[in-house]
Amino acid sequence: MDKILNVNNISGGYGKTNVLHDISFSVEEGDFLGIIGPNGSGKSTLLRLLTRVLKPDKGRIFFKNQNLTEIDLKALFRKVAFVAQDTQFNFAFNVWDIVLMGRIPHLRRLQVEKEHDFLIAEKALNMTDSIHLKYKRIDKLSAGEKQRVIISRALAQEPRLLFLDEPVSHLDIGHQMQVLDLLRVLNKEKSLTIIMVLHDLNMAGEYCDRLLLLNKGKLIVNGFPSEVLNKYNIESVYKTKVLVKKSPVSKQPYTYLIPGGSIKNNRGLYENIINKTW
Amino acid sequence: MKIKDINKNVLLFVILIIMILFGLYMGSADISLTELLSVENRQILYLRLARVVLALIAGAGLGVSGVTLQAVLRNPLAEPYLLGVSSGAGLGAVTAMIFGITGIYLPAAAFAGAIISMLLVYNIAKDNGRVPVQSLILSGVIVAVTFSGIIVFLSSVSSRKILHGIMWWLLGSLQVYDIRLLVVVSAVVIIGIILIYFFNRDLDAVSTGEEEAVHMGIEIDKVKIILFVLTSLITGAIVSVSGVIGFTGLIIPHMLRLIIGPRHKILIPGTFLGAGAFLIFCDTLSRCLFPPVEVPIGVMTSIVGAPVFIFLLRRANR
Repeated sequence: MDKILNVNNISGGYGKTNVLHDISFSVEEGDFLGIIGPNGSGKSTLLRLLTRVLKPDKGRIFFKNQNLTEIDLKALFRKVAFVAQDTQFNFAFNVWDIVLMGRIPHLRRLQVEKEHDFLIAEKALNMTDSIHLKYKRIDKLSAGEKQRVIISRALAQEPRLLFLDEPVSHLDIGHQMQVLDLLRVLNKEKSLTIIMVLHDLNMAGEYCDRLLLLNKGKLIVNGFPSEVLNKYNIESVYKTKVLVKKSPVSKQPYTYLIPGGSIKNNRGLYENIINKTW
Repeated sequence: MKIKDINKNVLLFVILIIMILFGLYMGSADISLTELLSVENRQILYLRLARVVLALIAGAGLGVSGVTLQAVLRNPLAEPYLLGVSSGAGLGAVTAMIFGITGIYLPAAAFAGAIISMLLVYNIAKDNGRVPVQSLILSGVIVAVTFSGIIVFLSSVSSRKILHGIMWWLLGSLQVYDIRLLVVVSAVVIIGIILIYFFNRDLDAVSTGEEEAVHMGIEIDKVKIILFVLTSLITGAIVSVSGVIGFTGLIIPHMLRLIIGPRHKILIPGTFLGAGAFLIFCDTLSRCLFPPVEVPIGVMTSIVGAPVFIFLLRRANR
């Protein structure tokens, strides 16, 4: 299989402070890759580097054997799309306007959308089961509906590679499953390559074929969920006690949280609170 | 959908034509429209026409600049004067007045002041070839406050005549005293608006976020600088000839967004027509309500605009 993305020893961040150090991995076409790690571990920064929002200070990224920074930005985003955690809408666009924005990389300046573009936008809305929202205002939608529209906009770009930054963290479990199941279908049926940042370890284990575990800007493990999601890795990175069992449903690793589990690692802090404050 | 949008712009066009006729017809001299076209009234027609054209150009330019900045800065309070252009132009003009510069060179000095303040704001905000939105707004405010302070200082030490000139500046006026200026300003504004229109999709995308725009394949750092320079040139040109006219660049974009929606492809032409019509109407009222005294145009724009805006806002929330 061809490598769609090849990341070689990249470091990068904001201004002079490097958030990520020396990250290397590769993604094959049709992969469903999850990126996990605690807050501030550099997950979102990594996505920003991979989608040209930030430039790496060191190292190189190759997209289909082309140096990422040398690809024409518009041409790149005809093949790549991005779904943010929470997109802000300041003006009262309706859903149809938003989804048609996905056609921007395919259109020249001032070129009018053609029937072809409308069909693709409509198909994208159908895929996320939100065609009935077409003429609704985006700012009047629920969080779940909104996220489905944002995914439709990304699909209207006709990507081969889709990035998502915590796409379900604002949704209830019903909508979380709806979005993740949709992604799985797109991945399996349309062989869309997916790279997704997730907070929920169990969902990451259930849905992703491979996982990257980041901590403090470094890549700790890169492997199958069964290799990454074990007691040792999770406890050392997240600094809390857990129990890892196999899910009775899918046989994937399932992490149980242990109440009070964070105290052992932070004993000093808690003793301080208990003895001095109260 | 599309037909409806175009119809709204046709309606705005009709309103604009009515306003132009209204602006030509109304005046301190009571002349009917047919008489106005006769040879002996040629002078009056020219005077009124020049004024109507300046009102149209100034309204359109301020309106489109406001629309653009509100989208790029993703800030509903953004307006053409936010980035320090007006105080730069003001300082340029006041300095020129103190040195006794008059006539066509006064607006030239004001325009130079606008450009200098634009460069200053841009360079203060610049960080590694990027201009972060928050820094841009803050440096705009800092430059504006500093320049206004200097203007106040200069006016406190200058003669009564110069003080009068400064007041005229702060209140704004659409009087045309040199037709060549009108031509130059119209050219700058119209070319500027056409160039901004080229970026109508970029504006749609960036109004949902800068990273989102990058993810639509838009070179946002370049586009932002281009749009920043264009709006500054347009606003600087207008301020140089007509002083500071408030409200138009802030509220009219919101008003038109409520009427014709946020898509810039439709909104930019709509704003050209609507803001132009609005300023012609306000200017005509300002010179006809209490002749021979002219009500300052800035006063008129707020008195006329605020109630209409409140009405539209309440209707939109329902």
